[in-house]
Amino acid sequence: MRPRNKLLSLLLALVLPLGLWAQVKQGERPVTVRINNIKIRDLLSIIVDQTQLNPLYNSDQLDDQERVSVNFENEPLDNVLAFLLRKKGLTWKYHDDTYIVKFKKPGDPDPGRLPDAKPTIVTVLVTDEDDHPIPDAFIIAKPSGKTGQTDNNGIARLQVERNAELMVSSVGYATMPVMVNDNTVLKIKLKASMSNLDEVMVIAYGTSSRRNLTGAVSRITAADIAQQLVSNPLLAMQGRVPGLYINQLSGLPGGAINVELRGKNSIAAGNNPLYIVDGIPFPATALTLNNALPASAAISPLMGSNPLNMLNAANIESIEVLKDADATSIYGSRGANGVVLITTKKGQPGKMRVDADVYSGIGKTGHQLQFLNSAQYLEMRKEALQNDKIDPQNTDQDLAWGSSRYTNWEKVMLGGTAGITDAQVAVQGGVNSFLYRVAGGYRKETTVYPGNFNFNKASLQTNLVFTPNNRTEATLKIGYSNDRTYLPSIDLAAYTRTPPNAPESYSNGNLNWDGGSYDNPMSALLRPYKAYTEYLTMNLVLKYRIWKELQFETSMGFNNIFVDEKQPTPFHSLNPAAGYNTAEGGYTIFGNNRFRNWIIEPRFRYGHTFGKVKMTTLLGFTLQEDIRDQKGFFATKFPGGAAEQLENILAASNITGLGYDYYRYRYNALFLRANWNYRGKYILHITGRQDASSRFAPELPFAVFFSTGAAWIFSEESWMKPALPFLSFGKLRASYGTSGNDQIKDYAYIATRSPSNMYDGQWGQMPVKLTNNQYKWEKSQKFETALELGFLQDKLLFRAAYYRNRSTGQLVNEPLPLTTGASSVLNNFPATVQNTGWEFELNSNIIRKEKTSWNTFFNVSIPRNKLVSFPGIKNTSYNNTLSEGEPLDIIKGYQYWRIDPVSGVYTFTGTGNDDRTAIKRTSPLLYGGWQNNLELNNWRLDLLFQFVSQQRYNYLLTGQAPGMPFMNQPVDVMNRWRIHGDQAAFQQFTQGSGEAYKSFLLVQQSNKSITDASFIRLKSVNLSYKLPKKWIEKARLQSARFFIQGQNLFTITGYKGRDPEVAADHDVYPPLSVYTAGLHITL
Amino acid sequence: MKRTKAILLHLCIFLTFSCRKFVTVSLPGTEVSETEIYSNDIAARSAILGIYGEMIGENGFASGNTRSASLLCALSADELDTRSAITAIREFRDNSLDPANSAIKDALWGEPYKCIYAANAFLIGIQKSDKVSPDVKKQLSGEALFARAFCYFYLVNLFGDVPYTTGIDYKQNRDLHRNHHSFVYDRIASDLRDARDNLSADYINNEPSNDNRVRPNKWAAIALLARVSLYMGKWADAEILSNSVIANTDQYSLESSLDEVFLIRSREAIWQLKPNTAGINTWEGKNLILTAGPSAGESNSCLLTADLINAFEQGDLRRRSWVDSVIGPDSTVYHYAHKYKIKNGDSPSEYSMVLRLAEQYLIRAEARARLGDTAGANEDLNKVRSRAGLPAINAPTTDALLAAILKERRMELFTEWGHRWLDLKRCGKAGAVLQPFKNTTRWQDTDTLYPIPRSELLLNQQLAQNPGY
Repeated sequence: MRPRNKLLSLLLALVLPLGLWAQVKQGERPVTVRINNIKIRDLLSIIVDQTQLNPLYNSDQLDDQERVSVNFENEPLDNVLAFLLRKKGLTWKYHDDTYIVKFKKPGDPDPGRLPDAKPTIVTVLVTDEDDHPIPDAFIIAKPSGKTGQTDNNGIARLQVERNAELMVSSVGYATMPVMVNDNTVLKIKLKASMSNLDEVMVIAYGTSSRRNLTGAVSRITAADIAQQLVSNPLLAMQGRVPGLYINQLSGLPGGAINVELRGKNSIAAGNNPLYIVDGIPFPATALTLNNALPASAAISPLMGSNPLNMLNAANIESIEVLKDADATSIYGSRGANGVVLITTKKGQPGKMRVDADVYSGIGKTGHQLQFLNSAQYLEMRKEALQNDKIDPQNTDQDLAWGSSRYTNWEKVMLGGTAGITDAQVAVQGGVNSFLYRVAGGYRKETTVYPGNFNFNKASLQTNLVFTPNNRTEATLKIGYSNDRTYLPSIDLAAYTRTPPNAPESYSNGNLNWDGGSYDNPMSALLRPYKAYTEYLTMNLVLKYRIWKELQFETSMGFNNIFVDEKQPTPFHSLNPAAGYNTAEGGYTIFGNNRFRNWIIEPRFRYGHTFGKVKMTTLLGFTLQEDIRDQKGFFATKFPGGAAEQLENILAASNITGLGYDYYRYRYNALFLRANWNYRGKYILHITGRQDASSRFAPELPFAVFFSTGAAWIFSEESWMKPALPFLSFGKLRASYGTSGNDQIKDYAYIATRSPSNMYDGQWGQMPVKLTNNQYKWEKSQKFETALELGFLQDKLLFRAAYYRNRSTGQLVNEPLPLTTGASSVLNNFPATVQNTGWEFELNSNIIRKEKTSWNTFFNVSIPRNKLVSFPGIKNTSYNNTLSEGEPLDIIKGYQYWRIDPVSGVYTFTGTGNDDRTAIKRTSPLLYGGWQNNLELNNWRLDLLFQFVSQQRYNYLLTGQAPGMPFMNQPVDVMNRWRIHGDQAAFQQFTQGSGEAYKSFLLVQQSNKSITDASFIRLKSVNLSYKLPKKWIEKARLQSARFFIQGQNLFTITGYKGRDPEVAADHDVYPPLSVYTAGLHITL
Repeated sequence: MKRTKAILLHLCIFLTFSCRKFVTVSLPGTEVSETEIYSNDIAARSAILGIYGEMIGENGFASGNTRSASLLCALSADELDTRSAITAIREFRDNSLDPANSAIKDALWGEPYKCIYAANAFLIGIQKSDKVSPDVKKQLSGEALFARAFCYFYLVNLFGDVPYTTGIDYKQNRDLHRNHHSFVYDRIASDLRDARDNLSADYINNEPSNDNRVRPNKWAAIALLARVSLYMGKWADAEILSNSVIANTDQYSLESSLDEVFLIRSREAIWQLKPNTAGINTWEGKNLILTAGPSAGESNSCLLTADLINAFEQGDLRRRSWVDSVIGPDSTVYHYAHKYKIKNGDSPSEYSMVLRLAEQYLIRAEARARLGDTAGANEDLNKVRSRAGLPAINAPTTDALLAAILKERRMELFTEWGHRWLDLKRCGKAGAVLQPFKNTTRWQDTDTLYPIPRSELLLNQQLAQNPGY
C-alpha cells in the first residue's frame, strides 16, 4: 500500500492546479517525507513544495539548523507542525499561503495531533535463526502494555505507537527487545536461549519455561536419551532427574523396573507415577500373567516386565517429570505419586530430511562371581555333614560325583556375550501448513545366557501437523510397535549355584539326569517363555482459535496393547525322577492379556493482558476409560509330549483356567488453571480439579484437589541488579496443594461374589469381601519451596529444592475381628506417610565457544521417607513389615550379635522369635548423577556418572545355608568357623539340620542380611566424531557422525554380589556392560 | 461477560452430572454383585452351594480335614493321638491351647463366622428379591437358616458364649459382645424350626438323577433340632423330634452292613457333605487312613488311642469294620479310623457324613432315659448294638442307662464331628474322664472351652476371654 500512496500524493502535487489545491484546507494539506537527520530549514522547504504554504518565523523562535528525523506519509500539515513545534512551546496560524509561527499563549488551541502518538499497525514476523517461523511468540509493547501473540506462521499484527519498544519472547528463546522506529514491518530473529532457563518445558496441558515455572518440573531430552543404549526410556532417566529414583529389578531386556518419584507415598495402594504419552495415560503396571499368578508360578523371568518398554526411545522428544503439587494437582486423584509426561518427536519445517541411526555392539556381565571349585565344594559338603553328625545319605549324590569334573557355572550361565543392534530411520519435513515425521525402528538384544534367547522390538510412528489456516491446527499421531520376547521361563542366574562337580550336561545328545539325582541346569534352556506384544496408539489434537485470545482445543486418543504369552514345558525337559507322568506329555501356560484405553480432553484456553499482568487460563474436561483383560490357561496332556505341538492349545486334552483378571476403569474430571504473570517478576499459578473415578462408590462426593504456586523472579527487580551484579537470574518459588492416589483394585466398593468352591456339580459363590462404599482416594498434601539462581549470564544455574509430602487416609486393609465374616476391609486408615527431601542441581555451560564447549550437570537428591503414624499397627499384619517413625522400606529383623566362638553359630541379642527389633532401611539414602558434555571441533564426548547410597540384601547370605546339598556358594564362605575359638566371617557349615541351620534361617531375617550396596557407576560414555563439512558435501549428506558408546562401563562398590542395582534376595541377571559403535547420517 | 459466565456455569453443572453417570460402571461379566445373585433361581442356589463348598473345602471347620472339628475335638477328647510336630495341632491333644493357636482362629472360629456371614447375606438379600421363584426361595432360605444354626451350634459348643449376629454390616459386627449360650441355643432352635418349615421333605439335587443327600432337607433340620433339644435338656422335644425322623422309614433306615454306612447312597444318611477337592474322596479318608506310621507333619499324623481300641467289646463288628491298623517302620502297630475306606481317588464313592440315623436312635434313647422310659431307651440302644453284632443289654436304672448310652455313642460316633468331646462336656464328665486319661497335670476344668482367638480380643474390646486362658 505504501508505495502506491506515495505515488498518489506525488501525482496530486504535480497535476493538481493551484486553484484546486487551494480548496484543500491549509492544515489538512498532506505531507509525505521520510528522511533522517535533516535540518529543519530543509524540511520546511520540502513542506513548502508539497503544500504551497510558506512559513514565517524568526530565529529566536526556531533554530532552523536543528536536525530531526521524520517519517510522514500523507500526514496533514497540522500534525507535522505539531510534531516540530509543540514541544518547543510554539503554535501557528494560517494566513493565505503562509503560516505564522508564534509563541503559544495560554488559551491558544493546540492544532494538529502529534503524529508519533498515533497508533500504527505493525506487522511482526518472528522466526528462529534458521528462518523458521515461531508460533505463539509473545509480544509486549512498552510503554503502552499492548500485547500480541504470533500465529502459526510466526506473524502478529499489533497497533502500537511508532516509538514503542517491543519485547518479543518465546519459550526456548532469549527475549529480544526491538524498537518500532516507525517501521511497519519488523522481522525478528530470536536466538535460541543459551541457558536452559528458557527452554520449552512440557507441563500439564501446555508448555512453559524454567524461568516462568512455579512448580517442580525436570526434563530430559532426546539428546540425553540418545546417549543411552537402553530399550526402555525410563532407564535413560537414571541419574539425571533429581527426585526420581529408578532401579532395574532385572537386567534382562524388558525386565521390571522400580520407579519412585520422591519416595513411596502409599503403604498398600500403588506407588507408580502417572505416565502420559502424548496426552494419553499409559499403563504403569505390567501386562503379564505374572500379575494373576502367585510369585512361585511366575510365567516369565522378567518379574513383571515394564510396559514402557513398548515405547521406542528414539521417537521421544522429551520426558518431563512433574513433582510437586503445583505441577501435579491438575491430575487430581491420579497425581499423588507424580506424573511423567512423554512427548514424541514431530516434524520440523523445511526440506525433506532423512535421519538414519544405527549402532551395534556387545554386552557382558560386569562382575562375575567366584564360586567354590569342586574340591572346595566337596570340602564344604563333607564338613557340613560332619558338623551335623550325619552320615552321607544315598540322596547326597553330589558327594559321589567326586572332584574330577569342574564346571564354572557362572561362566556357563552368565558368561556369554549379548548382542545388541539398534537401527532407526526418520523422514521429516514440511512446509509451514503441513509437517510430517515418519519414523521406523528396529532393535534386537540377545542375552549372556547360553542358547539363542533374544528380545526384538520393531516400531513405526507417524506424526502429522496440519495448519490449514492461522486459526486451526490438527496434530495426528499413529504409532505401532511389536515386541517379541524369547527368554528362558526362569532366570538362569539361579543355576550358577549348580555344584561345580556336576556331571556332563549331555550324554549321547540327551540331557543327562544322572539317574534323576539333580536338576540339570541345561534343561531350563528347553523351557522357554515366549511373549508377543503389540501396541497401537493413535492421538489427535485439534486446536481452533475462536478469537485472538480464546482457543478451543481437544485431544483424543487411544492405546491398544495386546500381550500373548506362552510357556511351553516339554516333557523331556523335566527331571524324570520328579515322578512326572509321561502320558501327560508336557504342559504349557498360555496367557492372553489385553489393555485398551481411550481419553477425550476438550479444553478452552484464554490469554489476556490486563495492564501489566499477563493472564492465561485453561478450563478443561477429561473422559477416560481403561479396560484390562487378562486370562491364563494351563494346558496339559499333549499327545506324546511333542514339543512342536505344545503351543497348540487344541492339542491339549486337559485345559484349566489359571487366572483371570478383568477391570473397567472410568474417570472424568473438570479442571481449571489460571496463571498471572506481572511483568515477568511475580507469577501466581492456581490449579484445581474436581474428579470422579469408578474405583470409588458413586455416592461419594467428588474429589476436589487444588494447588497454588508462586514465583518471585527477584533478579528482575531494579534494585537487585546493582546490589548483586553477578546474579543474572534469581527466583524464589513455593507451592502447596493436594493430589490423590486411586491405585487400588477396581470394584472394591461393590459387594460381589465369585466362584469359590464347586459343590454338587455347580460352582458355589461366596462373598468375596466385606463391602465398604465409604473409602476414598488417598490424599497427598505437598509443599515445596525452591531457590533458583543464575550466574554469568545464566551460564551457571543452581537450583535447590525442599519438599514435604504427606499422604493421609492410607488405603489399607483395615483389620477386623473374624466375627464380621472376614479378616479385613479396604478402608482409609488414619495412617500418615511423609516424604521429605532436598534436591540440588548445578547446570553449567562453562565453556561455550564456536568450536569448543563444556557443559556439566550435577544433581543430588536426599530423600527421607517416614511412616509418621499408624494407629493400632500392632493389631495388623503390617506390624511385621512396618514401624512407626521408620521408612516404609525397612526390614524388621533379629538383632545380630556374633558368631559364638564355642558353638560356631550365628547368635542374636534379644530373646524369642518375635523379637524383630533390628530395623534396616532399604530405600536409597542419597542418589544423583553427574553429566558432562564436551565438544572440541568435530569431537564430542558425553559422560554420565550415577551414584546411589543405599543398603540392600547381603549377597553372601541370600542363598541357602553353606553346606546344603546341590548348592554352590561364593568362595567367601570358606572363611568359616571350624573349631573352638575361630574368628570367622561365616558360621560353621551345615547341611540342613541342627542349630547351625536354624541360626542360618534366623540370620537371613536379621540386620546382618542387609548390607551396604552403595555404588558409583559410569553409566554411559558416548564419543562421537562429526565428519568435516567438505567430506559431507562430497557425499551429498547434510551431516554424518560416527560414535562409540558404552553403558555401565565400570562400577565402584563395596557390594559383593553381581550388581548392587539388582541386589535382591535371590540371584538376578545383572545389568550388562555394553559397548557399541554406530553411525548417524542425515540426508 | 454475563452471558459467558452463564454458559460456563451451565457447562459446569452439565459436566458435574454427566460425570456421575459416566463413572458409574456396571460390573463386568466376570463378577456378580450381591444383588444380582438373587436375580434367578440358579444364581441364588450358587450362593447357598458356596456355603457347603466352604464347609467341605480344604480349610473348612466341617471338612474332616486336619483342622476340622472332627479331628481337633477328637484330639481334645480321648479318641485320637497325634505324632504331629505342629504346635497348633499338638495343643489340642495336650488340652493346652494358646489363644493365638491358628487352628482355633482360622478354622474353628473364623470359618463358621464366614459361613454365617454368607448365610446372613443370603437371608437379607433373598428377601429383597422378587425374581427367584417362591418355591426355590423357600427352600434356599431354609438351607441358609439350617447352615447358620449348624455353625452356631459348633461355635457355642466349642467356645461357650459367643457373639451372635444376623447382620452383615461390618461396622456392627466388629463390636459384638458375647451372648449367653442359652440365648444362642434359643436362636439355633428357632432357626431350625424355621428351616424345618421351609425345607422340602425330599432331597433336592442339581441333577435329579443323582439320589444324593448332600443338601439338607426338612428331616435334616429336624434331626439337628433333635440334637439341639437334647443338648438343651428338652428331653420331650428331643424324643418327639428324633422319633419323627426314625419313623420316616421311607427315607431312612440303618444300613445293615457297617461297610455301607458312609457310602454315597447310604440310607442311614440324613445329611452328607459332598467332597469337592480333586484327587480325594473324603478328607477323613485322606487324613485318617495310615499307610505307614503317623507323620510328623499335619496330614496322616493322627492315630486312634489305645483307650478307644480297648473300649470295644468283644465281638463288636465296628472294631473290625471301622478300625484298621498299619505297622510303622518302628514295628509299632498303629490303629486308625477306617469308617471311610478310600484314601485317594478321583471318582468319589463316599461322602462326608454329618447327620445319620444311628445318632437319632441314640438321641431318642437318651431322651427316653431322661424321661424315665427305660424300656424304650434300651430298645433304641440295642438297635444300634445289634447292628454292631453285639448282644442286647438291659440297663436297669437311668444312670446305668445313661452310662451305657454315653459308651455306645463313643463306640458308634468316634472321630465323627467331635461327638465324644461334646458329650463329655455336656455330661460334665470331661474332667473325670480326661484327667486320668491324658495322664497330665495340665488338665483344668476350664479346658472344656476353647479360648477366644487372641486377635479377636485385640480387635474387639467388647470380647472377654474364657476363664483359664
